[in-house]
Amino acid sequence: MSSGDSPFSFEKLREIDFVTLFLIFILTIIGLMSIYSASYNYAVSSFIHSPFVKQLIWGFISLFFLLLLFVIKKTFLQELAYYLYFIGIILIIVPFFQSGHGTNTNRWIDLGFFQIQSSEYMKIILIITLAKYFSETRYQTDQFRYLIIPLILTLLTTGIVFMQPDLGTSIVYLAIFAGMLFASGAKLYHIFVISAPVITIIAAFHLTSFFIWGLLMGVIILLNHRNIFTMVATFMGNIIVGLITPLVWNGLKPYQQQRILTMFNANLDPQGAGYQVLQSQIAIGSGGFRGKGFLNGTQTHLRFLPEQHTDFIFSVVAEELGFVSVMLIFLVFLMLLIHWARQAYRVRDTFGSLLIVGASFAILIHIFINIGMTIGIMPVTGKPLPFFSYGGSFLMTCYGLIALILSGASEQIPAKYS
Amino acid sequence: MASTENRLSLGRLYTLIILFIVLFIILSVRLYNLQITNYPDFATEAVNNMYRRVEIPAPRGIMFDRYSEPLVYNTSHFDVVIYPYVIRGDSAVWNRLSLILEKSVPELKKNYDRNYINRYTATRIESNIDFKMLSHIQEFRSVLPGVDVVSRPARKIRQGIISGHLFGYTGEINRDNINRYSQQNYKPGDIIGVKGLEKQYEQALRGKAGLRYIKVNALGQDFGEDFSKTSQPIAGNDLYLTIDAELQEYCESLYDGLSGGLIMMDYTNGEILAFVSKPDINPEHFSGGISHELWSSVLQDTLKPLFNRLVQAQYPPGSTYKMVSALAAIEENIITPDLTFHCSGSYRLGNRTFMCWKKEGHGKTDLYGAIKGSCNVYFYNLIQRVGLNNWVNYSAFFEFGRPSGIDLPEEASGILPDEKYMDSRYGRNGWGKGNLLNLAIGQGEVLTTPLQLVRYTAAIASQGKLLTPHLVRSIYDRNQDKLIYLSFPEKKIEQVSPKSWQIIIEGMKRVVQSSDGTARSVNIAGLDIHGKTGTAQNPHGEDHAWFIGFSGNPRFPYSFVVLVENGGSGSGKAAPVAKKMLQFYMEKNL
Repeated sequence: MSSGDSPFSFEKLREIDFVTLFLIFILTIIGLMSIYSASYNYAVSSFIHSPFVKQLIWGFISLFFLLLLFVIKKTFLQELAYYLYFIGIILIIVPFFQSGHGTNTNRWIDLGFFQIQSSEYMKIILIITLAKYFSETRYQTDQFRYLIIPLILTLLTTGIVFMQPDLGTSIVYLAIFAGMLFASGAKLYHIFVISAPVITIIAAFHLTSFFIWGLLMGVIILLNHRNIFTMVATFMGNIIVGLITPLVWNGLKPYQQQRILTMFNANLDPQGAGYQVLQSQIAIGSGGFRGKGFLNGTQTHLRFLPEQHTDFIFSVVAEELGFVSVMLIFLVFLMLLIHWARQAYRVRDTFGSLLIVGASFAILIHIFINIGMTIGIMPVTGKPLPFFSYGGSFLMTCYGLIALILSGASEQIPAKYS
Repeated sequence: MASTENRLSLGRLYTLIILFIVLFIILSVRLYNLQITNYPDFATEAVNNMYRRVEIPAPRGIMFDRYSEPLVYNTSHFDVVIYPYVIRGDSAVWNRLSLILEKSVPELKKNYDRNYINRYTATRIESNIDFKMLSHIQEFRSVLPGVDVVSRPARKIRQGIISGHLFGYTGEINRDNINRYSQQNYKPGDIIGVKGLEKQYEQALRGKAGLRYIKVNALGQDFGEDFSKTSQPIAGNDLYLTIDAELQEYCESLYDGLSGGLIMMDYTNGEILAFVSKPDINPEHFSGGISHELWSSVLQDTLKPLFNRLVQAQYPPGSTYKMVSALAAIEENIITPDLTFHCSGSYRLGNRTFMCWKKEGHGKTDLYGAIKGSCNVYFYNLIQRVGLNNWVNYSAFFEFGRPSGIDLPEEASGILPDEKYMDSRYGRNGWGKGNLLNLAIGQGEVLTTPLQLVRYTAAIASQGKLLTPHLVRSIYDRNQDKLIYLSFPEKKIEQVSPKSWQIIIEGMKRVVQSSDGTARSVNIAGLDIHGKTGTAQNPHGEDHAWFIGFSGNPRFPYSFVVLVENGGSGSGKAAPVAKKMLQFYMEKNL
């Protein structure tokens, strides 16, 4: 173990990836324009208090946060990882002791002058923690037992956030874990064993599916011949999970059940979540190929869109800018993701590689869940769209994730500094 | 710090890239589906979203009388409507409405349920509110989001006239009966003609509603009206009736306290000048929804005020029908009018006795005398020579047993009992001469509507013109800006010679103009009145009184039928009504 004299390395700024930075700025600017449009008709006391200006200020704060996180040496992050994790766990528990917001959710820490959503920053911490663990030399990819600790680290955070309750964020944590597990070189069979319960839970709602899944699971387990005890334990464990799933389902909050149910049919509840999705789809569909033009979205400006400057910001973009612009935005996202994946492959150290993969997955899952929600193929879990949705904590988190990616890809020329 | 070598393999890198691409393809396909494939649908929905469409009801066509005096026209009622998607379950709004409209919330909600179409369409919860309620609603507008007051044209009838059966009335289509009208583009809450001329001429009177487009946001707040999209309503077409408003009003007054009806018709063209059926309900009561109390009292009324006695009711025509057998006998050369029979006051057929109305008898009487005195015994003798088939044939010349084709809905056809009918009713041998004798004097199985009788009278007066009685002369077509004259078919009864007609007419003349005719009281100087009294036997109570007739004065070419239910004899009750009507019209028009 060797730590430098200073936790910061300003030398890193020289090798910052301008492609990523440039594309992120482009996305942020389009996002700001959309927020401007979405909140155009909001009653605000002055322009300074408009969501657009607030978000612009948050943009600068986030950029500062990005640079701050970026100049921290990777080795320092590695050293701090488990302390960060501990602090992170405390921060996501704190909201449970701060009730009285008039809602029954425990997501926010009230600092008096403003509120922070600690589960957002926990995404960054979880990535650092997992990257640290998977990059340790003692981690053997062919031994399942080494996966137990990261699994516990992930499930602990996931569980707490799920209780807040915040289904969306817990899904993000799981996605981060899945991506990093895959990139860490874990054996596919191990990934199967870990992901099997998730599929089991989904299959448990349908008897035939559950039966077919059980058979398939049995075959896969048998083909990967282990000792008889592990095989039976794996299989039976899943079966038991499948059997208690209905019990857990009944324990869910009705709004969570409702959100999951309306995923399959947006018209189930035309007044609630289904109504939102319906209006969102009308907004997007009516945008057509070229869109209605900036500030001309009728769904947006007549406020038929729910949460239009936060969760449903994509509907504003699609309505006003149309299919062709959305495809361009998709292209930017995809280029970024592929660019990052290639960097993750090219970097020498696993820690850096995993920071990139973890952050990429966090951003990807947000994009997919959010856009999927606005176009009616994913449940309404209330996840915002990176770089677009209004919200300070979230924008900072996104920039933090970018910092991890930039950081992961840096410090790659040890010869120069050794 | 020790860190392992990068563990991300090339294979897994490609897997990740493929995963990213696949996820974005999924999103893109769905977006293509929404924004390109289904674009037209969503574009329409977005437009539907942004406008609240407010219907501007079309004024219904006006009904004018033959001198272009308005008979049925429009006034405004104010209705309270709500927009369901704004109100949703807001009980405070319902409670405020309940206070203002002085009706309980469940009552209002019942109306709401009845008229509900969809979340975005104004739904009427109360009709015809008074000025006080109207001003209250305007005053409390700010705390009544989604509540609106719309004015709607309602029907108004010329002062002094009711004529419920003539005009009919309008009613709202509700959710229960919308299926009947859905093909013609009606929706719940629309006004439609339910009875009478309002129903018969619905398509002409209806007009086309206009639409206002009011820009609204999701909260239902107005952003002003988009006038470029407004479509103005097109008023319905006006009807020009053949009715004479003053005569109609006067004739209605003659039935004060009576039930029955009368028709006065021009026997040169079939135009009806007066059409009164009593009792009836003022159509204004139905306009904008009849109150529950009134409706149930109407339904329970034993006098059946919803029953149009002139076209829906079927009565035995009584002695007014005697001209049919007389005509058959003469035309078929079975008798000459000079042939006499002796009336002793009754007639024996086998072991049954058939009475004449005059107990002391008419003595020796010829055909003229028999018509003039309405001698039953003469016709008992006559019909046995004529026979059922001739009687049926001559009845059929006047189209008894068939609807006349008047421009009113639900016309009854009456019953003309031919051999087939009698066989099916009584069995092949179950009927005989007794039945025939009854038919000769218009009793028994034969049933006619008053309308059929006036048509028959007109055919006699015009010596064989079988007209289609009608109430509307022309329709003002607003689109083409011209009057369209309606044509109604007329036929000529060719089988009867003028000589025969003249004999019958002479008989009817004597009824009124002889010093001993049964209707000598109706003799009005200058009108050359012909007539025939009749009594329709009524098993349920006092007999109904008939009087039919016409004026022989070519400047007064009118035939008429007068029915007074439970009026006893025709000469006693029906003839005086006819006389007053004729006198009134003579003074007005001659």
